[in-house]
Amino acid sequence: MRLPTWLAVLVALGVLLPLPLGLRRAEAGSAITRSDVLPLEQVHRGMKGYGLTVFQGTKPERFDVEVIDVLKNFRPRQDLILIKTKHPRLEVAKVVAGMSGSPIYLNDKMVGAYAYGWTFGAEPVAGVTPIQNMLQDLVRPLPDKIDGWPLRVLPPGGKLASNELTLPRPSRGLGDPTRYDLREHASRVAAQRAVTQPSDTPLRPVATPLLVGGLTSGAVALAKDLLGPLGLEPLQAGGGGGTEPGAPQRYEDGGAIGVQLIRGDMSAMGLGTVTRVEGDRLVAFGHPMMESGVTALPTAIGKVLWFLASDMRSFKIGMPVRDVGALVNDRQASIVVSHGAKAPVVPVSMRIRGVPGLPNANWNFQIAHEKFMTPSFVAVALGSALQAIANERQDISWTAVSKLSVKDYGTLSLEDFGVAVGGTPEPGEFSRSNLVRAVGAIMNNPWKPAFIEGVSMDIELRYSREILRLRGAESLAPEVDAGQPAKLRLTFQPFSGPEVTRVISVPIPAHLAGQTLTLEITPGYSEEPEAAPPDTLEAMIKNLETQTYPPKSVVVSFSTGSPAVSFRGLVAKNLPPSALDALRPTTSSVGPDAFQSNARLVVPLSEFMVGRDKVSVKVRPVLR
Amino acid sequence: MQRSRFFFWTVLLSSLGFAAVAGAVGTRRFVLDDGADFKGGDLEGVAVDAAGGVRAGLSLGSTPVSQASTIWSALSLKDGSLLLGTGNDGKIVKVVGGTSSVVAETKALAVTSLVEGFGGKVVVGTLPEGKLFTLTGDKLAPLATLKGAEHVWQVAFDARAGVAYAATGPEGKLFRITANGDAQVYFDAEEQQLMSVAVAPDGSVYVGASDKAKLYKVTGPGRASVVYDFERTEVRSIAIAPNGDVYAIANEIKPGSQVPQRQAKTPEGQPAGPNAATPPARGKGTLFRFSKDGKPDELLQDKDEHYTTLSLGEDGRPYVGTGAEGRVYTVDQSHNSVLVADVDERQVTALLLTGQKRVVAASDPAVVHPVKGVGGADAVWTSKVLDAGIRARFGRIEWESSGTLEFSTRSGNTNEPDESWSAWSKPFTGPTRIDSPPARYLQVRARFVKDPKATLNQLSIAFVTDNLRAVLTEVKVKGADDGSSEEAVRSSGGPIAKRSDTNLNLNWKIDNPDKDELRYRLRYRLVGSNTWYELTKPDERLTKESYVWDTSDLPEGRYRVQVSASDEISNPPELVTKDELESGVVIVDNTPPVVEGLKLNGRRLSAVALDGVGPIARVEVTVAGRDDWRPVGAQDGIFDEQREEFDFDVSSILPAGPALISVRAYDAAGNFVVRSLPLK
Repeated sequence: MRLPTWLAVLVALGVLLPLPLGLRRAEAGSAITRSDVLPLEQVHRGMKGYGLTVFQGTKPERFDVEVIDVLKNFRPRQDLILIKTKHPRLEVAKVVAGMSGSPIYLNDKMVGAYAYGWTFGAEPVAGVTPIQNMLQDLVRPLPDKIDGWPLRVLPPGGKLASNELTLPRPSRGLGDPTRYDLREHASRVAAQRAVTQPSDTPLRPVATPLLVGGLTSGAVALAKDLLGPLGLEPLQAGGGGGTEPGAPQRYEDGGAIGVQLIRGDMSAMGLGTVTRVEGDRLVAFGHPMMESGVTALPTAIGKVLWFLASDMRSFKIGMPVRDVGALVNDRQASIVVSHGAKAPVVPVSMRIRGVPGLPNANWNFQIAHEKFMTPSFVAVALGSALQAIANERQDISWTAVSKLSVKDYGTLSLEDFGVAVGGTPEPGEFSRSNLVRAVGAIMNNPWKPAFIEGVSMDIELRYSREILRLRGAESLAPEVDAGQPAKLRLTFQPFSGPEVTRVISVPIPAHLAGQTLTLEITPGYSEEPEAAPPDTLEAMIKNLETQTYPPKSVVVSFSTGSPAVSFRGLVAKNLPPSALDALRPTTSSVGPDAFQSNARLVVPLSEFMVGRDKVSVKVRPVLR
Repeated sequence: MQRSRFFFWTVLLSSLGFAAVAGAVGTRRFVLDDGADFKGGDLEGVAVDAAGGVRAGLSLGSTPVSQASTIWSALSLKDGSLLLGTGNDGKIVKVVGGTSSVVAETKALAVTSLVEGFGGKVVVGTLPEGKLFTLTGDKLAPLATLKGAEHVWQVAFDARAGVAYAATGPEGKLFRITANGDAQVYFDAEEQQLMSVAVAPDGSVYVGASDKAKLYKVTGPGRASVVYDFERTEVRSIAIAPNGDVYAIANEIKPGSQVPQRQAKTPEGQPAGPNAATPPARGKGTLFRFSKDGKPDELLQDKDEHYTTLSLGEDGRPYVGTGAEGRVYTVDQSHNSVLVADVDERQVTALLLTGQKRVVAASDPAVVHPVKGVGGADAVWTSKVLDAGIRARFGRIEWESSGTLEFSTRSGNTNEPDESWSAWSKPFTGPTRIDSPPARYLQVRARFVKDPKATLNQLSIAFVTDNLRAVLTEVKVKGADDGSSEEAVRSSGGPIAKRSDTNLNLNWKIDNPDKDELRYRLRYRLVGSNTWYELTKPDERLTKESYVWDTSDLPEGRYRVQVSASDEISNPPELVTKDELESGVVIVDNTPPVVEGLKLNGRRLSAVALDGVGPIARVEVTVAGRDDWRPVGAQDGIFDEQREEFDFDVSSILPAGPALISVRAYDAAGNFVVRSLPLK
């Protein structure tokens, strides 16, 4: 029989049956039995039972199920139980995103978690992940440390001190992490996930609904770009939530659970259902969230507001009501959450100036501390804030000065800027911002674990088009005496008003006598000062602060014809050839990097320059 | 390193009686008898002078400096320890009793200079960032940051005035620094760098510049005169003798391809990783002495290596270290130079050859070689690898020496000695037949254990290679259209190359692996005949790969030439080998073609061109007196036969009035005939 396209649907739920930690470790890798769990071998066609999920509020309710059959080896060493669900709401909604993880019971014993469904399915038929596979994830031992940081999860009922942080797992397949590009990172992570997911089969899991709130449509689109390939589908259907007084204190089987990637004035939460609670830990979803392995993402007890029925794909609308625990393991058959673990988050604050009458100039939120999620949501949040505030048709120039606090490395200052012609900056451009690149580069650095302690952004908006277009450049004298400056006249065309000219003097070293120099005129923001390739996190952070010359400047540069080297944070320019030879040993490949020296003159401007040009100057020898 | 002279002693050696010893026909010799011959191997405690003598030299120990890759400067302290200024981590390393340890880190790239001054402190110069420090014990303290300087290349201390001078770049400034760190520009040169500085006994300061290698004498603030312009790229080091003589080394080093353009980088930068290997610089060096009155005297020059450091020894002689082969030379006033040490490292970058602690400091990798003495029983000279070209049997080894030397040999078939080589032979002290097995390569070593004061002046080793057959690979005839030109298809049009006479140039190529001398014989035959005629005379000894063949007395026709190569000159009859190769067809055609039936029919010119041997190659037409020959096509469309008809409309070249039309016909050998016809 040809199966229609499978779509995984999120679910969640759980049952509590505490086990001693030692026993759980001993069970890892072997068949796990529980008295209230029905072995898969006893499941057969026609069996009837029920499931638990939250239809509204926080309390799980029953829905009936009937076994269609068992699909063998659906995933590696993982079967799938096909069931038909029976409930008035499910007759309409069919398969519902957000139900992933809902525990299914046969003969009053748990058999698995509601986890997969069909897109455009005409029947309420779903796939159930066997509970044995999920229990294997539940008892799987966790490393003591990740990236050198203590991973103190699963104290049996204990609570972690707030300063005991868990760290996300190392990035997979990121290539060269210092060359950080958020979109490249996204595509690599997505490609990695694709390897582990079933392909060319109708049984492909679909996106986890990521309920977002407080974000503009443009920011949601950016989030979709970044997170969609990972199996997370942002839906503008969630709210910021917060703690509700009557909310449950602990997770329960069949209850709603959210994985919070950002919370506060902006929010994004992956919603699913708890399958089974055992002591401090629980398993949920019945399938991976991002299949990222050992990790640490904040979780919350969820509240379901409504089942939204849709022909394409129905989903739960919900929000977090109490922050509890952390996602500590993200595996093929489930996610594992610890009540007692506390996931690190990056507090972010934004202050926006320059908008008269702005009711909310300050934004505060927390982003999950994860190598991909943190830079992604910094980009999304920055874009959303600017778009929300500057959502109009006027030209906008903006400058963002960000302070990035890195544990043990102090605070570095970064500057971003932009000019949006016709209003509303495009959120996508923030994925390439200096701040996002710095966050990504630091968190994914190849030397040591790094922890971002906080980000604060001071954004200033101006309703103007602060652009000086370089109309042209001319040398006031085509030949200059060696040692004397070359005078250049730059002509700029501002957005409004007449052309303006600026004469600048470029010092020319005497030793260049007899040469014809090509002076390159470029905007400061596109010209990078020479820096040594970083060999420590400290050196990289230092480089990050001087990524370019001041954005509002023009840089005139030319080759001095002499070699230069850089090594261990130092740059030595204008070297004689013999010194270069001495500095670069032939018996060791640990040595300075050699390149041609450039001389540069940086001239501040009142606005951002656009365009570039070249001017030739002949340097005349002076005979004395 | 120059190759050893390679002598072919063939018939001459036979006549000298070597045949009885080593099958002497084909015997050759390695002869080592000058400085270049004796260099290139391994010198342990021996020196090689330019005249070719190998004698006792500096006996060196070895202390690797693992904390650095480069030693820029060295300073001997009163307590007997040694301070090293190093790169590329800017560390100051102390060496005590064969152990090195870091005493201070400047956070600079390199500690370029260490000099004692300011009351027992050590003044430290660094690059980049133009910083000076003082070191007291192991306490490093900043002294000054020189404004306008990025690189401090050298520091000199004037004990009389109690000030230090720092030669800097890249603005070519000489700074004068006081004990409290006040720094003033003392001299501002036009050059980019001032790379060397020294203070003379009279208080004047000598500085050397780069990128134009000028030696300045600075006698006061801003008062400088050029002592000498070396017309090179840098004055690397200066040393001043107590009598006021100034020594300076200058180099010619061009920025080579090792300086790449920097690739676009990301803001974060590529993480530091292994550097790509770059070819080391190899410049030219020179050593000059200037008398007090400024008279220059070039003592030493090296066209293969540049000089990296200069120091005066206790004997008053200048010693220079080299930058490509890691050698130390000295020279006397008569310009007799001696290679006194040859270390394994690439560069000798600092020399301390006076006082109690004498060292040769080398870089790449960083190693300190304490000078243990001169010569001694441990001294060993090991030759470079001697190459026979192909496998050879080695004969008698002979030498000239002033004392008893103990020789050994070893042989192998790889150009660098490895495990496949034979072991060193048992030592011998008199001329003998080498018992190392036959092989392509040979090495000889001489130990000075019997007589540390011995001198080796000349060494010769006889060998005979396997006799391999020489193979002729090509025979070419230049000047004949034999189809053997390098271009398979020649360009069409243009005049046919003229041959001035009846000589043909025969050339051939030979692959002669054993490089023995060959004798060639030539003969020829007409195409279609099997009868060969000798071209070379029976007693003609032709050893060149070319021959001029005079064909004037030959009947015209198509010929082939055969070249025969024999190594009979170099080998006894039973070992002689031969090879033969025929040329392509050679046309001997010394008479021009004829043009018959030349006539004008209206505006059409027609005739028949005929040649006795080869095909007609080209027909041209012009108005007599002009040099504007126009090609005429064959009636059948192609010039490929001995008889070709042509018919041509001359309207396009005719002048308005009467004219004389000229026709020129070529044969394939380049002979031509001109015929004319009046046009009324």
